[in-house]
Amino acid sequence: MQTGEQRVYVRYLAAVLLAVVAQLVRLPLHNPTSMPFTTYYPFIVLAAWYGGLWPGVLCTLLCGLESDYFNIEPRFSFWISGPDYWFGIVLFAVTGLAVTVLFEQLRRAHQREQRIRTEEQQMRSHLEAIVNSSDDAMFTRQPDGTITSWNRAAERIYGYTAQEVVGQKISLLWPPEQVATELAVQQRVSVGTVVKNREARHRCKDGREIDALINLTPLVDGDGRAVSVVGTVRDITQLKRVESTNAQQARELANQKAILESIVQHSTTAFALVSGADFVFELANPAYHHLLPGIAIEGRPFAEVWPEAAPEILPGFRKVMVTGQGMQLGAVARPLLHRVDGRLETLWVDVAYVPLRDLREPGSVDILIVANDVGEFKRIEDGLRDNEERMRLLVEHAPAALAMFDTEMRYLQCSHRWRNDYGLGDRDLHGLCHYDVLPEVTEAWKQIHQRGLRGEVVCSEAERFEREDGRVQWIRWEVRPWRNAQGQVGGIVIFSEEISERMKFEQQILRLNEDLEERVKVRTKQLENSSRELESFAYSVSHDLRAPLRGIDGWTQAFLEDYGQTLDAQARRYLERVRAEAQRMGQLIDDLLHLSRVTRLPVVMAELDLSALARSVATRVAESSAGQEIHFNIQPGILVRGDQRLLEIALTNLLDNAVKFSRKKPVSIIEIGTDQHGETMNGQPVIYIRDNGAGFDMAYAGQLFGAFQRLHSSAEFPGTGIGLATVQRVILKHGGSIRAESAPGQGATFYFTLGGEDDIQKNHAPGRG
Amino acid sequence: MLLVEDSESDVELTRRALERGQIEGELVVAGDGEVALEYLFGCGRYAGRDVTRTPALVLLDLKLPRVPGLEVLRRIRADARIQHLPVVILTTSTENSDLLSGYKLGANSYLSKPVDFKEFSDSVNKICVYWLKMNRHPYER
Repeated sequence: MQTGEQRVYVRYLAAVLLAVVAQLVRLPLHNPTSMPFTTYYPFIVLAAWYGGLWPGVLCTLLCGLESDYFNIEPRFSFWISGPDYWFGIVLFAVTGLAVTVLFEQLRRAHQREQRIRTEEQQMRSHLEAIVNSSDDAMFTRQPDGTITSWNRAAERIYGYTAQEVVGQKISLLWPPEQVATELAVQQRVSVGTVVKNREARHRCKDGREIDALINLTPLVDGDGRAVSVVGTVRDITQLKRVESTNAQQARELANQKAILESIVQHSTTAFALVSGADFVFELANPAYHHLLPGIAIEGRPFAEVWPEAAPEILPGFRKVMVTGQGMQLGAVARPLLHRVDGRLETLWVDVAYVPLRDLREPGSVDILIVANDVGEFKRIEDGLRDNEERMRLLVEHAPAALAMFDTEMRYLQCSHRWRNDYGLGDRDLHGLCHYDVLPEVTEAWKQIHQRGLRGEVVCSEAERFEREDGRVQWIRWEVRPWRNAQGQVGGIVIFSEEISERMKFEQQILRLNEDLEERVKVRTKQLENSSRELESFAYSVSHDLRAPLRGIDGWTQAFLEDYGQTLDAQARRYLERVRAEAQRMGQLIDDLLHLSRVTRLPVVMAELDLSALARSVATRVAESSAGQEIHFNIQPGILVRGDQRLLEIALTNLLDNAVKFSRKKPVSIIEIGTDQHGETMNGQPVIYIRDNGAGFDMAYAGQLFGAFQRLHSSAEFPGTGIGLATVQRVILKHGGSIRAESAPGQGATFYFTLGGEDDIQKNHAPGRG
Repeated sequence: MLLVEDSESDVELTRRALERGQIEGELVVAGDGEVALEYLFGCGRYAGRDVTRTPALVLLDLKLPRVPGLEVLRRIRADARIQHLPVVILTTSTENSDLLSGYKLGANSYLSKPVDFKEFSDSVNKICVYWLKMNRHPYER
């Protein structure tokens, strides 16, 4: 305001000064009355130019007065002497005013122009500041895409400086795959369409691509065609990333919720949530339902759901509600009345109450019940305790020195015998280190313990200790690792037993055994000798006993031949009887030798076809019994393991017998087969030989297989009584057995089996040597 | 023919059997293995005997005093002069081991003497007919 006033004052002062100067300028004129007005005009113009209308008018007025006073006759007076002067002054005033007004107009126009220019300048700088301070990229381009301006944000976002891109095409920013789309957009914009919030990808100078939010505003001419396009671009790459991260987080949250729900649903741990003063169940998972079978839970107060346990449980709930502190009860027993069968049982559960602040209702606390059914553990634990007690009893009263240690050689258990042996008394050893209890344990033993702890079983069946009193003790001991449930060595068990007595006996037994072996050797030798003697005896019998018989027979025959005519019939019959007896004696000797040979023959086992063997024997037997009609019925394919030679001897005897004793039948029917329904022995079939002969009385069956035992008279059926003894010998040598079934006149059946090879070796091995 | 047999009864019975079978020829009897060897090798009581005059057949018992029959057989087979001499073992022994040993040592035949004299004389006759009449002697003169 002050300034404005001053300036107004200055303008008027300038007008006055200019009027003064205008008068002073006239001083050099010779004729002061010439050009009375003209010289004033420039100063009036200056005053109007500088001071405006009213200072101009003032200057005009002052100049008019000055001219009237100094230049118009009468000079130095304001008197105007004539109409010409009036006219001049009036014209001067009008002209001065006109000039003043005109310059005033000019000045104003100039000032206005100045002001407009200033404002425009300001606007421009504002706009530039706005444009350059924006975080969004801004640019202008021509409809054909040529970039005309490029702000700082654009430089920052795209990496191109304004200098680089102005004059370039906007397509510089388009990724190749978007060119077609962008061209279409450019086309639309060029006909005046405004594009708002379009999302696209833009490529930066360094090749990086960004997510761009694009606005394009065309500046249109009168025909609606764009003359220029203003674009703003916001880099929303970060935003996009955040958006996608948010979506990811939301998915994860949903996933976690699903997992949590699944855990709660499928957990074997029981969960339930109660709320409010009545502890109403809000939810309970299947495991909780499992704890309380057959009871409706959700939406009902606790006291109603489980009245029998409520008196014990509810005080705990109240405490949690009041204090806001959770409770961990551990394993507790709860009564549970079975709703189905009315049975009252004890439920063992491990329970915790967890306070949960209800976020929906500030200040209220819900209780999460977490419970695990530990009934099974409880039972196992009880069982374990029982086992432990039994184990303790067993160890303590074991009739041996026995101790169990952990890995640090601390006592876990030991037997009374152990305490006695080491003089440990009755004190509690549990947890004490063996080496503290018995400082005299030697280094060697410690080493053995360490070996045990490394998993080795160290033992000695008999170890000799000489005691201080000179007594010799024999100890059997064993150090054995025991393993825990993880299979790691949990410690060792030491067992020791005094076996001095036993050792004494064992040594005796050893001595006795040695004696026995010696004796066996002697006996074997004796046996071998007698066996040899027997052989030479048999040889002698074979040779020497038969020679005289032949003599008797031979000379009797010679006597008969040479002197037969001089003897009567009776005498000849006697001599014939002598011969017959001699021959029978020879037969007896032969059979006996045969039997003894069978006994001495080694058994050579082989697979053989008994049926085939029986057929060949039957043929031979039939041939030697000419005149007798014999029908053999032999089952084919009887396979056995046996000695062919011995079995042939046995079969020959059996078939001979069968033929002999059925001699009196019109047709002898002899059957050989296996007992299809009978038992087998060592995989060998039971074989039978049946005839339709005279048979025998079972009362005498016991004598059947003895040597020289006969159940029929020689006159009826001749024979020496050696045959069946030989058969039995053969069967026994095979490890088998034989028996007979018969009745007088009913025929006889012989059943036999051949034992396995093992039995034969066991029973007859010495006979082979 | 040389009969090596210690039992006089058997010698007589053999002789009787040969007579009845009308087998001709000289029968030399040796009562034990030693005598038989002395005869065959021309030493001892038969010192100076012409060893090349070999018997047509040796009937050899096994169980003999002093030198057993199998030893006699071994000695015969060991001597190049008489090793091919036909030797028939005629014995009371029915032992398998004797049978096998006899053949192993090179016996030409092996017969068991039966108790029945008729069978015995029959066997002796058949042997002699075969070995003396049918068979060709290795040392034919």
